[in-house]
Amino acid sequence: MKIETTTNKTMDIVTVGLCALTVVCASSTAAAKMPFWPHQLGNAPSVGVVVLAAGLAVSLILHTYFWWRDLDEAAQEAHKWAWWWGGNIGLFVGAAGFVGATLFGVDLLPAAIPHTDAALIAAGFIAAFATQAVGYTLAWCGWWMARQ
Amino acid sequence: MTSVFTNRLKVLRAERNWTQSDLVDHLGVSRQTIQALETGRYTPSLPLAFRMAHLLGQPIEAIFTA
Repeated sequence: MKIETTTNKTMDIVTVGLCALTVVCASSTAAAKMPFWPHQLGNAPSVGVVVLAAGLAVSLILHTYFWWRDLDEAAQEAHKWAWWWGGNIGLFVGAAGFVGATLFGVDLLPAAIPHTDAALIAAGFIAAFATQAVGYTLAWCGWWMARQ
Repeated sequence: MTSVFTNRLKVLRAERNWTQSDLVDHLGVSRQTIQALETGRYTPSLPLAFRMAHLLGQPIEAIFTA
């Protein structure tokens, strides 16, 4: 068990290192434009942006995998329970609140933000994600408090 | 929030003069898990139950009761 934990921690350190390497590579290729970019997709992004997005995505997935493997069974159960109940209830509450506020004519966007459809969609996404995160956190704390 | 099963983990640990940290080291779980087990509010998985039985030198039925 201890050897496996050490290996997981080593791989996690490697993952964090990969993430740092990604940032360095992205910075060094920031000025170059993506080659062979289809005209239909608009202006080509810089190579650095693509490297950063891909590298951070891979590093985050790897880090999450090794973090999950290092958790014991009760901790995994707590996260699964919190993700399901807390995440779903938080999402429903947030979605209902957002839709209800919109229907009642409440202005949900700050005055400094242009009131476009894209901004409203982004606000809806942020509201759903934020309430999901709050629900998840409360459920996770509740799961552990009920078992101490 | 009680488990379906009750267990004698705390009693068996005390009989051996072990601390919760000793169980953490031997079973490879966190201290929070040990606390949840001893309060009877968490049901372990089958692999963990077998590891506990092997560690304590008792059959599973002697540790857990429904």
